[in-house]
Amino acid sequence: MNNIRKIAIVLFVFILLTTVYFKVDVNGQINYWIGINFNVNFLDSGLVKVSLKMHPFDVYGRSLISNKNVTDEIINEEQVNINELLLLFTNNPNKIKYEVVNHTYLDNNTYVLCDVNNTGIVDKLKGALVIDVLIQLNSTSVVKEVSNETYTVDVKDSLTYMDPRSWIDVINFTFSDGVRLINYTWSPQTALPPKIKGKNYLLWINPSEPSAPNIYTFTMIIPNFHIEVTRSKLVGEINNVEFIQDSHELKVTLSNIGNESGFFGVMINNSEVQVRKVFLNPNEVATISFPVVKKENKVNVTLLSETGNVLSSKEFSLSGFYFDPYDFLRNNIGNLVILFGLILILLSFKK
Amino acid sequence: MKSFLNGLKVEINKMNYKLFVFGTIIVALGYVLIFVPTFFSPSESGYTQNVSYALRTNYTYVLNESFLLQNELNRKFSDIVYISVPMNATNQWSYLLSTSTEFSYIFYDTDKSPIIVYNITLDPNEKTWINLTFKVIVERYKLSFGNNLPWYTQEQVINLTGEKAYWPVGNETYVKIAKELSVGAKTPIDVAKNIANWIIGHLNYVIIPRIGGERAILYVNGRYVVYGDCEEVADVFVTLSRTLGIPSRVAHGLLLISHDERMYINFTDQGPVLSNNWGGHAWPQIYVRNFGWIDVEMLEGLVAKVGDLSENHIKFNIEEKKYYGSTIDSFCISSYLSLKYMEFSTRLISG
Repeated sequence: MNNIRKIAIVLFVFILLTTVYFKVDVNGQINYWIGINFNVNFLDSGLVKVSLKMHPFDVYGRSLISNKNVTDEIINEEQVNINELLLLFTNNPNKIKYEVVNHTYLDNNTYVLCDVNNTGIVDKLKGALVIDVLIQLNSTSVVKEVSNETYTVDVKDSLTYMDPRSWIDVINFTFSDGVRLINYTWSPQTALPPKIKGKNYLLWINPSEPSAPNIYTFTMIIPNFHIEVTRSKLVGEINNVEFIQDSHELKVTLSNIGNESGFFGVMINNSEVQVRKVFLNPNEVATISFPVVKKENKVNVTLLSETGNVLSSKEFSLSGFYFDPYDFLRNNIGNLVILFGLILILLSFKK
Repeated sequence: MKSFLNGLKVEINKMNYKLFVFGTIIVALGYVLIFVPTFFSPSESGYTQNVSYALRTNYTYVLNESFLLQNELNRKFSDIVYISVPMNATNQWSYLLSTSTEFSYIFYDTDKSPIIVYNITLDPNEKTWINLTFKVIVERYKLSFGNNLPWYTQEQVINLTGEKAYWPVGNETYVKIAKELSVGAKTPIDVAKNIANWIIGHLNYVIIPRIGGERAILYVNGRYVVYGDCEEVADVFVTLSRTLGIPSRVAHGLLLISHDERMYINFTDQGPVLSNNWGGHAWPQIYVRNFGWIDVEMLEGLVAKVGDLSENHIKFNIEEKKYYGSTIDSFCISSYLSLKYMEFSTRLISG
């Protein structure tokens, strides 16, 4: 841990990731911006320590860090700020595993860098509201395994995606505790490369939105890290499958026989694969319908978790299946006509 | 060889020539029946013919967008202004005819919504107009659906029915309501119609800032109430649809009262003043397998219209993939310059 702290202190000079976004005080008192600096530090075992520093200022670039109304509002919106932070690593903050190491606190001894006057010159603002969060990389949607202990990680400029007026002015990624950077890239390629490169860090300085990457991609060796295969705790079973010929309908009855509530996917593979989603509480039973056109007397029904993992699969004979001469005729009319034509041709050779 | 030809001649003389020709025609007819499946026999699955156009008519508008911006600061400012414009979509084609000010570039967000970017420099208190003129062809369409419209692929369910900030898929209240609305429903269209009718029947229409699906359903005097305006209606619809596994999203744009309109918002010191015919609008869309995205409208005459969109809708942007809604949540956004007035006018030139 000492090592981490040391690196963090060295990096303090660079001030990491700077983003601004506009904030309108709904009480109509003050319109203000917030300068945002992040530090993104990749650690052993797939942990990422992200520090978010915020410094509010008005449209003339004057600091509002001493304005209690403004800082209280920012503190009260901590979860929104954490979500924005998490969105660097996921498309859904509710699906990610993280721990708030330090809730929002005022640090008068730190600095936030931000172009407060929109002139292209970065100002150094003293004091910041800070949040420190530890993220489990294997719960994110941005990591892919390349080979043993080698992974790619995409970090998204989530603020640009939320609002085109915001972008990352300065971003510094650090790799410590045995994490070794092998390669990196960014997109779009028209954006600028990192301004400063070190053995264990990459610093981007982006003077404008078009010059700022939207996605930063790293290939790195992460010791003691494995992508977690999340096993669903849902347990369900298919109770019954019934085919109703008249309405071309397949009715599937399923039940949740586990202790967890959640979304099941019910997939049928008859003439075409179809999936329906159904939420079941423990011991709850539901019957859902599928339209089925091409009739076969067997159907494969698979229960899936919300993320698509197969929970169980079974083949059923369709008890309601029976021969429909009209449907048979309609589906095979072309073949029957050809057969009839061939018979006529054969008969034509007969005296 | 001569012997063979003589034999063949004898065989032809022996055969019933007319019957042979008739049989050959019948065989050819059989092949026609096989290769024209939409008429006589189902396609491989039989599902694709389940959607067809009952009505398609094009309407061509000239649309003008005007924005008045002012520098209310006491120094010269150069600012980037983002303007949302009519998009190209399945039933809409948009062409930029002119712009009063040269724009910097056009970009498309992750949901392919177009945004035109201007770089505007103004002295203190200086004002400027940005005027844009478009030709927009809107297809008024109405679809008819068969009874066997299939559900979705696993990939579509996973990628397009997840939770977002405004769509709390998995919320207990939504799950409960969704279950009731899916009882007995065979196809996604059946479910979508049930949802749309339920929303209309429980709507307390109030114009409010967007509060998202989480807060848009209230339990009042023993019954659920959908509280809000078009955005809440769309968010509730999308949340219920996604809860039931139907890919859905929100479209934003204008809803015209008549073909030729002039609508505005005047941003005064006392707050925004809207023209009586102001038509800023949001409405949901659902995905129909083997067909594409279709529109759902509930507020035009308070009738549930699924796949039945009037020519009075002009689409500007889509919310689908991003966690926090659309990239541009207003028609015009800037960082430092103040938007004082915006106006849209439409003139029907054909249709």
